[in-house]
Amino acid sequence: MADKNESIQALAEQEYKHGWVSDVDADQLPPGLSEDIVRAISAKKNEPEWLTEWRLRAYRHWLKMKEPDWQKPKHAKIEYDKIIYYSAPKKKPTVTSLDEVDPELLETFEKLGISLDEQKRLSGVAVDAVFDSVSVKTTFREELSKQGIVFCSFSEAVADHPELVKKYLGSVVPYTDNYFATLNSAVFSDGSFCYIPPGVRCPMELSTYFRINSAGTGQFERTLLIADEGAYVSYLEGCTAPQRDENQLHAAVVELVALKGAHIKYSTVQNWYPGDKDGKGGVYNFVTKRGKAEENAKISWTQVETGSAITWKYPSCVLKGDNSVGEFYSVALTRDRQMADTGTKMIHIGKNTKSTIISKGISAGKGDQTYRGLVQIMPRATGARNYSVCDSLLLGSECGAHTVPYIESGNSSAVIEHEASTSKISDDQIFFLRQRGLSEEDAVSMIVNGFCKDVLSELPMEFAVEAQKLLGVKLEGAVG
Amino acid sequence: MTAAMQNLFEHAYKALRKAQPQEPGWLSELREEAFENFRALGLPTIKHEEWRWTNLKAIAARDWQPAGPTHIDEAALKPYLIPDADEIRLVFVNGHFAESLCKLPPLPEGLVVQPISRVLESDESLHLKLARYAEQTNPFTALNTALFTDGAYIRAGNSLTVETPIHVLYVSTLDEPAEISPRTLVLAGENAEIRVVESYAGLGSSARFVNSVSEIVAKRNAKIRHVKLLRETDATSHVGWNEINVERDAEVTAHSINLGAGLARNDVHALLAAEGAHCNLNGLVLGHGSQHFDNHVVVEHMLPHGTSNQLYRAVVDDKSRSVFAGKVIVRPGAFATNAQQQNNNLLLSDDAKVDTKPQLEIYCDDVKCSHGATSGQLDPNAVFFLRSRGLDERAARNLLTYAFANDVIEHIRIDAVRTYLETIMAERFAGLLGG
Repeated sequence: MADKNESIQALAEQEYKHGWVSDVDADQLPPGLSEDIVRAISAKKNEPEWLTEWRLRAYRHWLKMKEPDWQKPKHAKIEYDKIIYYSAPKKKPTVTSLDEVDPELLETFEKLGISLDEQKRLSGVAVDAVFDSVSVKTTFREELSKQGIVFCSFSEAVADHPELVKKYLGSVVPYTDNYFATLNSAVFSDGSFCYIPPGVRCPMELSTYFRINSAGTGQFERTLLIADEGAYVSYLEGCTAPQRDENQLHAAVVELVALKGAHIKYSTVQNWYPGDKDGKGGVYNFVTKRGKAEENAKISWTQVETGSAITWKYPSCVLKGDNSVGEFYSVALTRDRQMADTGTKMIHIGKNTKSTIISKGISAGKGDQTYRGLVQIMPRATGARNYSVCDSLLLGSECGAHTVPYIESGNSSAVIEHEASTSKISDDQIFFLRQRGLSEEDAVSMIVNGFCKDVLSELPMEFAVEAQKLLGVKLEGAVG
Repeated sequence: MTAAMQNLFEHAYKALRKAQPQEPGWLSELREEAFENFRALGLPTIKHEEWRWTNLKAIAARDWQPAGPTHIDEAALKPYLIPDADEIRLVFVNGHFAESLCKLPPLPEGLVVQPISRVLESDESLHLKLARYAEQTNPFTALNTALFTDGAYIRAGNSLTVETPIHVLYVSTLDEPAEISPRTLVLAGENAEIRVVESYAGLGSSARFVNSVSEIVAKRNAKIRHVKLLRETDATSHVGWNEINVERDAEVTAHSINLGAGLARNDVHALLAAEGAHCNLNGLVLGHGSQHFDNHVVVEHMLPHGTSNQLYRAVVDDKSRSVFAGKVIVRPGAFATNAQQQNNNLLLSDDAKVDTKPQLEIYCDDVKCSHGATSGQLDPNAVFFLRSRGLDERAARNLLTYAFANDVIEHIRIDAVRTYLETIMAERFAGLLGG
């Protein structure tokens, strides 16, 4: 047992590997929030008036709201007046060639292991890299545009496709939705926009990398993804962040619109700075993600959450159309003093709607995590079906794992099943593997991998490798 | 909070204080303090997480007066007695002791079965036991402490085994709306074993609010089998709190059987306060019409080697609604805890509704905890199978529903009560007997 305790100790104490700061001059607005700041952000981005008005409406609504406090992870008070709501890299690079990109940026990407060049050449993944707030580089745009696919930064979409943005912005997550989504609606800096025309199957995995960079900047990303009738798209989002001592707020909004027969697969790997051993610093990841599925549409969320001091998000599916399908696959790993309160909401409105929830939580050190989910069957959702599994694995005697599923069934023909278990790795399992010749560390690693397999196998190939690598890094101490 | 809400139960409290001038000082102080707590807390609304699915408008809307003592005939009680049972029985009518309806055979030495009002006179150490377990920061337990008129006091001395079930029947009969607050205290000494049935029944059609609190304490290695049986009228709002305290190696099995009430909320809080404590908490809801049942269960594992099991099932028909919220808390250091929780719901009608929230809150790694929840309708294959065996559709469905509900009933280890409930269920699913 001593060995295992040591290895778990080692896992719990391992340092954050992606901590560095790159020196790029940022064009910043003064900290604080007011109508003027909202107008200034909007002006800096040359936005049309309706969008400025929309932001202002959100801001005014936000002033009337109270910060929620029902969540399990309690955090230090966020001083909204001290946040810098807009920061853009000064040299705005053009998008025609890599040579014109600030070399420092390229270096940063290389550290992250996402050299745009390599990505382009080897994996065929189009990367819309978001560095702080302004989109730096969009690749493969031309190739995609041949099929009518629009994949660009949010600001470009506002300029080039205002009709689409106007139609769908806030249609899934209205600006009144919740405290952080409303704040985002008022001050969002940039993000990604994607539109897949009817019947088109997006030929490659679309991808965005986020990084929080300038000290004291909150990041307010906004992603809007629309799959028109019968379209298919797989979208990847991945993040790492440099080491910081101050808490950084990240309040993003992701809206997915799956029209009739469309299929959206949205995958996330999150590895932001989790704070140090004592819980100092680290990112607050308070994100609102929601998708709306029309008839026969399918929305699938996959997430691997290993970073952030606090992860607090519930990627949700509104299954509005008949026969629509929602899926949620999640692995969350908390260690040191990391906290996670995550899960999903499946709102069954249409007939014969189906949803699947697979959530795996691993809690180590003093980590604390909560699965919180809602399965709601509306009275007219005849034949709705839900299946949920939430398992938690505990490593270390000081960690916590909690499961809070809400099930509301208003239709007698609906069938809902939920099961959850919480346990440590059993001594029998370790003993079995050890008597097969594996070291204790290998045994732990193998069991953890097996524990997460159901979720990792849902990730697209390229991402599955990254996710496995990430879990590997996180478990390195345990594997020896 | 509105002005009307602030004055809630103020009249009832004053009226009761006036009626009980002879009470010992400690109890008056306790009531004073409890009512102060209630004033501060007020009635919860659906904005409170623990009350999000149960609306208390029916209780908040009225200025409740305490119910007065009244007489009823034994014949009227008949439907609520456990037939053929050799039982020890205490009866309270409208919260007041009704001696003529009781059945108190000579009791074995060490067993006390008495109304609290009498124990107040005879046992000076009562203040060490009463209201020492149930949390007074809950508005309804505080309100009960402030307002209770009487209730059952059951105490079994060390190493005493009583096989005869002790039946405490709280019956209300009202022509005017009124409030009733029954209080129960069950204590089982070391190595003792007792069986207690606590039942609530209503006569008459008037609206009423019944707010009960039971404190159930099992000392070292004691065993308590407890059944709470709810057969209130549809005009009744029932709120009940069961506080269960389990000490070392003791075992408490508690059932909450909900057969009737307009609105019922049962809170069960089991504190496994010592090593090796064990509890089984089961519940059954049979809802019809526009009944609303809400069962909240919290099991708290404080120390190592505790085990707990929960099985709650609900069958809801018509426009009825069932809420279940169960929580297992494993405190740091409660190693080798084994906790299981199961909630199954059967919806028989499209207007029925089920809300469930099974929760695990674990702060310790060496545990085995799991929960499961299901909601749905009868398995069409099972119905088909029974029909192929010659049962008609209705009988087939009734048989399956009966079997679903009986999984809870069969865990009741008080034979007379189990048989009685099986009969009630068979009548309820009448197609079954008619074939």
